[in-house]
Amino acid sequence: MRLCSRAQQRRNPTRVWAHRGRAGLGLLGVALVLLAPPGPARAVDAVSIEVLVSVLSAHPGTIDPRGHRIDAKLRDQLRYESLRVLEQADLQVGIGELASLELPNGSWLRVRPSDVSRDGVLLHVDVEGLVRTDLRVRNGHLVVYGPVPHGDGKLVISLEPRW
Amino acid sequence: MHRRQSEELDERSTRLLHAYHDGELSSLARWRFERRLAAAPELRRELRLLRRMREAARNLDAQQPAPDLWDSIAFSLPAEEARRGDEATSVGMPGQWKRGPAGGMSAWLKPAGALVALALATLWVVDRVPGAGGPVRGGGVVRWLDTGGRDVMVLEDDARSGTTLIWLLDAEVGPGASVGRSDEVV
Repeated sequence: MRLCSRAQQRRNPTRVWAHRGRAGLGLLGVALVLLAPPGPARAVDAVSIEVLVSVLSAHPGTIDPRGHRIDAKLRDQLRYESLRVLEQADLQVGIGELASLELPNGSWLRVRPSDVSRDGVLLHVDVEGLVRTDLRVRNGHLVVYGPVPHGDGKLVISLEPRW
Repeated sequence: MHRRQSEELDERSTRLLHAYHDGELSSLARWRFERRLAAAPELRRELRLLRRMREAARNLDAQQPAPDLWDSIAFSLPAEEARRGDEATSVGMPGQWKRGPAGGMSAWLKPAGALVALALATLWVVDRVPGAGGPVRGGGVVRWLDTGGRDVMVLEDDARSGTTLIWLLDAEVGPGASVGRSDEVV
């Protein structure tokens, strides 16, 4: 291998560009490795979805400890005096399967998880008579739907998928 | 247990296929998958089916079935077919977020172009902007939404909070109740 000094390199621009080219290719290789997407998400057969059905009321009362996370989200959006959890369910739903839960007002909540990717699970959610949505939800992300009229209060339905 | 989608395709291939169909793969992953697609007729057949369903959903957009009708159909369908139906139904709807596979450039030009762009970007970043941050991928939690024409407020917090609120503003409310703003009461 022939060695050459920096002065010689300066005199030989072709060699300098070749050196830069090699460095550039090296950097490109590193960039490709860094930017390459990770493999598909680990195989997930089922998703656990915690469903909380709560009622917000203008009547004075307490905040149900199980609904603290919802309360923290809603208290800036609405004024209410009490939050009572009416129903708590942990749905184990296979990917592609449909789970249904009857809400206290007689309507139905239907949830179907689709594929799981590194961006989260694709959930198809139907709160009967209220809204139908497709969501891409990360593990542990809380989704709150409302309001569903219920007596003199309002139902809010929250979903928290985990896998 | 839910039924497996196809005996011919393994689970990983199916996931990749759906991600490819939904335009969720990065340039490099898309390029890899297109190479695989070229060599796998069963994957191409599956992709054609997905695209046909998307087209059918577009054509039916104007006469979208009511939620109750769709639910009854979904209940009667095997799970995986229901999933495909949902994905196809989502395409082309108002507020729809996903994008389909890009058209126009030939399959080999796209990865080549991406590589050239990446090379130029790498050299430029190294030369001119040391310490520059990487790209941030967008995309919210709500990908599609149907409220039957009613106004809806969607609050999507950042990743730290991990909460999304979907609130119908003009939903039927109980006595003495109104919703939607912090100065209103339940």
